[in-house]
Amino acid sequence: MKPLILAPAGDLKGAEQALKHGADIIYAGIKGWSLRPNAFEMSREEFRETVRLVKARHKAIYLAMNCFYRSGEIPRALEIIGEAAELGVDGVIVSELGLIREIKQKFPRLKIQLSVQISASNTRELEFYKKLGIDGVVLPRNRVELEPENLKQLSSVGVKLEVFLLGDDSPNYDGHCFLSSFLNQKIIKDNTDRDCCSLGSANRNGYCYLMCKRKMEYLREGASQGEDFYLRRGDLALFNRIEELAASGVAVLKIQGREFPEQLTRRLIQGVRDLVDGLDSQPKTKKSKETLNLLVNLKLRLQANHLRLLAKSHSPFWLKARKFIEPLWDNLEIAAFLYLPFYAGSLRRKK
Amino acid sequence: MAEFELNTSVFTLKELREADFTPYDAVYLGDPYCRDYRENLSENPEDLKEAISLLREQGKTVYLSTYAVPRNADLEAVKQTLQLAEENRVEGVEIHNYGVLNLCRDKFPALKIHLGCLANLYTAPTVELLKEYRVNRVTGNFELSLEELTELKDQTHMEFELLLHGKMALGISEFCLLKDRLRDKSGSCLDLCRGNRFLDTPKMTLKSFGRVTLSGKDVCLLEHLPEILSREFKTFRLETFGEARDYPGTVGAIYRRALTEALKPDFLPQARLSQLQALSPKGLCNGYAFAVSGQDYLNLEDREQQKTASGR
Repeated sequence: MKPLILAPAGDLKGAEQALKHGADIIYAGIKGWSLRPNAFEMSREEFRETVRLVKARHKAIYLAMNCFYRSGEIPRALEIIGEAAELGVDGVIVSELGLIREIKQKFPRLKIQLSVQISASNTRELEFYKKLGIDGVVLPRNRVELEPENLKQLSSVGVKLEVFLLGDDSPNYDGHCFLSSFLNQKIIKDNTDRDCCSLGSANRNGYCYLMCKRKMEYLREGASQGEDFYLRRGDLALFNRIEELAASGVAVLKIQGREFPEQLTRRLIQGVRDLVDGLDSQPKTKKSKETLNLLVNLKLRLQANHLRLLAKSHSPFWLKARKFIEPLWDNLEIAAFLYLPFYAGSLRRKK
Repeated sequence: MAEFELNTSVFTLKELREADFTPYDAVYLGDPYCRDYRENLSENPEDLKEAISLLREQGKTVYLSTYAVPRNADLEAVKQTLQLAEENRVEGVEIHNYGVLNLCRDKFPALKIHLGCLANLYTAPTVELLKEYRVNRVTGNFELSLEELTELKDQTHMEFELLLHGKMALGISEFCLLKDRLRDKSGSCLDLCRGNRFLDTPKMTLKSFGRVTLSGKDVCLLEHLPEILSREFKTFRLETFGEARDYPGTVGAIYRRALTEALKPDFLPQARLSQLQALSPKGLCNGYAFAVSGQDYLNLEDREQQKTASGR
């Protein structure tokens, strides 16, 4: 069976584009309640509009409620999920185990997807979550978890497996990295209706200072001089493994990037759509896999990498700068040119 | 019987033999962060038996730690660890992974279960869920502040363990940074992790240990023991693994004495604090106890100011 494409929507326009270019399901968050800076989450009104749009196109939508909340926020989180269920949302993406049973009891129609933050890594673990009532799980972005043999074992549990096609190849398991909040954490009241916002906590608010992308120095025993290195290994891109993933039981291909510019997301979705549609055809696709892989893997991935960096640097300057930079990404050649210094940097790191 | 439990963790028999664990009531045996070396007590039946008998002779409570991030290929080994725990009648197993929790509940009904620091426990509904899985002690996620932990403890009546001192786990990976990424061959696995090797950035220092990334600074809550005890926490961990031979004994003795004196009006921790500072080359921090960055250190005065500012 062909896998479904789950695409991000940071705003209504993004949702429109995602649906137009081939997404089967989209996911979005409500301001303050998902793991993204507020700029890439929707207001209640915008979310309502988005659900209407998705339903009119006979597609599906998931609400991302994937923060680790405070106990006192759970009732409010359930209210939001309840409102979404009434609107006709199909599923909810969660990280907080305590929420799962409540959702199952109160909103049995909703599908429950476990966020990548859980980093579920073995069949026993999936069985545990299945007993709680989940329908699907986003697997960690690690090499071993995504090996075909492992995927087959995981899929035997009977939970829908979702895999990110693109993402940071983080040094630590998702949801199990506290380097950012250890470096810098501020607990503030922001302009959302959450009790407070833990700026710096990747788990509680999705604000990550990306320690893994900062230069570190390691001094070997006996060495007189330290050596530079980065914790992060690069980007994970699985576009050339779609067929293998599908054959190993992966049901949903997830595209990251509520914070990506619309042009970039559009190309990613289009590219993945082509690959998925071409799974049954011989030759595989009209555009050869190599070409598409080059397109998506090299240029788009590099842009995404750079833009993600911009998006996650929370300074108002970068958020404003995005508005001027983004239109340039529509032209891949300009984008590649602009990206060159960053590309060189990432090559150095890989060395 | 003491009103509180002071515990620590030991990963190898050699470390258990060499260091002084007199100040502790209980010891967690075995390395939950790495399965790559044979001396790891949670995977070595012979060493484990000897370690248990050594500790029991000293009148200690014995717990066993299980691997924190098992994949399918690791599950059989983890099952054997649980088997060892049951056979040796340890007083509890520490579990970080929900698959292992599931396994333990189904197959090892006699074992008491402690939830480890990497299980991402943040809320009361999750604690309630864990009770159904026979969990009788938990470590909240390190990002939780003392205030949040107190609320959770009081609301759920669960036993919460608190890290009072030592290096804090800040992330766990699918690989060993030193061996797999930095290809450091300057020593054996044991030497690499236990050596004085740090990862430095201008703003913070980290330490790689097996597959876990630890804080370079040591968490230290010595000064704040009166507040902690007044919040009725009773189970405390001092993380002493991978440190110099005299570290567990010295730090344990300092906290043991401080815990018995903390509620007295003349509690003066300053001299002992200086001793602890001398043992921590990268400095001290409070972890997330006071809802600031994990690497910050608030002394008593800072803490009072923080309370005044927030109106508490």
